[in-house]
Amino acid sequence: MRRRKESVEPDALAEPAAFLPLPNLPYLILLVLSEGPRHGWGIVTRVEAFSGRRARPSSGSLYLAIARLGERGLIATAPAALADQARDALRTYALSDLGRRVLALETRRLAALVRAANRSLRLLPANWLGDGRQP
Amino acid sequence: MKFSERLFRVALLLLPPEVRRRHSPEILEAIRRRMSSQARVRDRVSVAVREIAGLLVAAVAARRSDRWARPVPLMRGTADHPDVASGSTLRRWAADHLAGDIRFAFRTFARRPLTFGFAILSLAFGIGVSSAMFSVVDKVLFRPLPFRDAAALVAVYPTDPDRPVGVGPGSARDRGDLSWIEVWDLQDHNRFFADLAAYSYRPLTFSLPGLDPRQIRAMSTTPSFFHVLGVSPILGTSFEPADTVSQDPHAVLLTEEFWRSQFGGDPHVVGRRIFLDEQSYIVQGVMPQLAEMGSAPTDLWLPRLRLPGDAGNRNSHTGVFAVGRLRTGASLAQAQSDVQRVFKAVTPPDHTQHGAALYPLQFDRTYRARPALILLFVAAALLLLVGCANVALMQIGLALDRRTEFAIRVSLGASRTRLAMQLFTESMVLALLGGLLAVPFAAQATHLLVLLAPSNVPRIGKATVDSRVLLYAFAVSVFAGVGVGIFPALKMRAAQLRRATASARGAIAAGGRAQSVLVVVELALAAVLLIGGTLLGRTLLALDRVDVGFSQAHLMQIRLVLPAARFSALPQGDASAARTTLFQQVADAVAGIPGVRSVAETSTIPLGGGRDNTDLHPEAWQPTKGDELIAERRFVSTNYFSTMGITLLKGRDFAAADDGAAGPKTMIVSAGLAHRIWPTASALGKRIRFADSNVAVVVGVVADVRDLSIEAPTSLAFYVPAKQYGARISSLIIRVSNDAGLLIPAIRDRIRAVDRSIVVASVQPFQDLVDAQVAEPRYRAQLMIVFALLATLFAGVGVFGVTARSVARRTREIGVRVALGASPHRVLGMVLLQGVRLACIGGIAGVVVSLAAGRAIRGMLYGVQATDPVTLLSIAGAVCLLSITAALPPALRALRVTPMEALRSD
Repeated sequence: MRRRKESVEPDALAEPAAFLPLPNLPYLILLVLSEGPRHGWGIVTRVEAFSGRRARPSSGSLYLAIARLGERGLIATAPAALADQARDALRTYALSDLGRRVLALETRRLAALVRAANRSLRLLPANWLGDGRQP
Repeated sequence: MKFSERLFRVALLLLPPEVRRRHSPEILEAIRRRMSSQARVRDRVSVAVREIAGLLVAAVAARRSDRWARPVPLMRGTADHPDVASGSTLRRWAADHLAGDIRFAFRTFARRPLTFGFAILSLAFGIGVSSAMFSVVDKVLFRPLPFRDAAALVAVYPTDPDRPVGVGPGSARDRGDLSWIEVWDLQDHNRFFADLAAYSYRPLTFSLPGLDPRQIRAMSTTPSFFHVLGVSPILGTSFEPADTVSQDPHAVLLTEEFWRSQFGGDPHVVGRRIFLDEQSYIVQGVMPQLAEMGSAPTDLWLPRLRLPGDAGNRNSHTGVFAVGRLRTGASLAQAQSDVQRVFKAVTPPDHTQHGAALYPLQFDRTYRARPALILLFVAAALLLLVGCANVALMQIGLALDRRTEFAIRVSLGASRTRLAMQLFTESMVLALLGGLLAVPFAAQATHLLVLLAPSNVPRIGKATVDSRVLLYAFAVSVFAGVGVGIFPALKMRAAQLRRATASARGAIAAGGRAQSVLVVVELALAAVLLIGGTLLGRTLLALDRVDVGFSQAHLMQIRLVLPAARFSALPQGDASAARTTLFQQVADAVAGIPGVRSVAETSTIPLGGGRDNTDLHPEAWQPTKGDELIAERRFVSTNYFSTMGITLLKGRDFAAADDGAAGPKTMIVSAGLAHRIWPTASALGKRIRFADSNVAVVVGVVADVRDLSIEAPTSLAFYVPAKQYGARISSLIIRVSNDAGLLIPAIRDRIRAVDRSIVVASVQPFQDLVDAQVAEPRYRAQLMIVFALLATLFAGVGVFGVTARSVARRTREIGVRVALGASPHRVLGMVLLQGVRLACIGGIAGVVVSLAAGRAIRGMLYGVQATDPVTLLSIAGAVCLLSITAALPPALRALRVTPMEALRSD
């Protein structure tokens, strides 16, 4: 995976914890990209699958979040190998190291929250997070 | 889909530039794919709406600082986070609540799609129409002319010494023209112009070797013309500005359009030889179109040189117009008095024109279109106001409906300011959505306005939705949002909420006054527009009904240009005879076409824009003091009156015997002229001397004809047989049996068969001339009526909404009344009365405003007064009727209220 160095470097030293708590949409985008690099439309459809048809985010807010994640160096743009006119519409995004660490930290934070909730509510099975299913 | 695509592009503009630049294509692609994944149109529309809303929310969210690092307040706008703390309420609100409020607004809209859909549409309509009108007004009236330092350019007109000078726009239609020699006087002796140029129309025949000649519109200009305007050529060189021998008098400049249409945009056109009136000219250059400088497109420019010994005729005012560039620092008034001085000093005493009036060129070029365009612009603005009032009414109503909700939130600790801001945000979002939707709409409307416009509105073709129009639309949207949102927001702050939790009774009082005011305003504005529309519509009807004095159906005019060079070589008498012969051949050829019933000849085509007048001296008639007798002169063939369908009132028509040049000279006068000279006696047999030396006997009197314009009063006219004077006649009038337009190709073919070098300058049914005359009034009337009907629709919806809400809120009261024995009539009357009272106030206010504004429209009326009582009263009545009609459905609903229903209502 190639990265655009200039966009990542200034934030490479950034403290991942500074980005927490992560709002829902950026979190979902990081999660989608943790499965591998995708182009924009791929992110859109995958995020839709995560959030369900009813609550799917608008393209405007999705791309705003993508832009903000890019600015902060959490995701990077992989140069596309396609012809020039198609390149803009099919730019490929990938998770950066920083993004990966933020994702991990946020997941851990959420997991702690869920565990705490479970403890107090005793509603959900204990291995809820471990079995990999979506709620 | 093109429409929504445009909408998305506009919405994308709201995003911060760095995001937009990088991601616009991706976002558009994503939206496109999402929409195309929906099969049903309804779903696609809903996706589109949600995506636009999403863009708006994202745009607001993007403007806020980095929110990730800060925890989001869990309870917004509650006592825990009092946002009415201090100074920067607005900023804190923007930071904490704006995006949330916007999202909330969209949820509110989604709950009442029909109501809000109508609101957004009516705002979009109002803003769109008003923006389109703005784009037209801006381009036609306010944009500087495309000349160098256009503010210093001035149009110079001579004035009659008897009339006051420079009395302003009102007298503008009386502007006269100059003669070339006067222009030269001004060039030589003025002190405040840096430079002065003049131009004059000159119809010419244009031919290229091997092609049939055709008529074109040329302009003769002083060589300094382009220098004064500061226009540079596209190709070749401009005329030599210094009035010297170095300018070739046989050089021409082509306009860009002519260059493209006639020479295919040939880059090597400079130096080519062309023929104008059968004389050879050389193309010196190509100039931009300069559509601003004439009422009709120009094809090419010729230099009008001042050659040594060219004395010219000072009194020959042949349509020469002057334009000057003021010296730096010189004022219009200085230049004006200086021009007066020059005229006084230089002109001989017998000269008729002594004064001059100067106007800024920009004003001069636009004054004709100005009043109507301003009027329509204001009308569109009023329409927008009606739309806004309507939406404000709706917002108040909804806010009242939601009082319980708000009251609960207040009791849970939300501040009133917070709720007011939320309502305000809602209105703002509503207006901005309307504004967004208005942009593509304005583009269409502008296109339509340009398409429908009469051809003589200068530079209207350039009107498009550009950045200025967008800015205007945005400003208007913000204004509308504030206007619409301020009422419910203020209501919310007015703190009558607590009571509202207990009962809905307070609601009527709370919203009542503001609603009444808005309804009255709405109805009054609708009445104003309706009155304007009716007056302009009646003007149009009156113009359509004008008796022009001849029967225009199945009548055509043909204007010819005979080859001049052929006759110029012959001696005077022979040339005249040869012309007459050739013209007779043409007339005979046209008469032979099947479907042509008769062919007459005339020197001047009625309503054709030309005029030819001369002074008359009836024998034994003494003019009243200082009042010379001037009448229109027409050289005609003997069958002219029968062909035109002009009624012969007295005496006899011309007969074949009148054609003989040797016989006694005869003339026929119009009824108006006859009455003017001999109010009591008969005109027949009287002798009149005209044009210095000709004397003729009046043999007949014919009906008056409006041949200058439909609106102008009938002109005094006299007719003389053309052949008696060997007059140069160039026009044919033909009466046909069927559809006039179908004969045009045949006519052209026949004339061409007689002689290829005859130029057919125009062939037109008379109906076209009449239509051209009413094109402007028609445009005004159509637009005004459309605006008025829309305003009426809006106002009707407004009244309906208010009444329906009031009935819904008063269900219990009505039920109780019914239970106590109120008759249906009383209930109906009670509900309707409210509406009727407002309608009466609104109607009367509208009439009063119209009376006050009558001045603005007076100049555009014909056959009806601005204060026409029938119009005013019937519109006032119509407004009342409208409001009763709109209030009727809810009132009928009130009739069906039963006591049981009333009990359950709260």
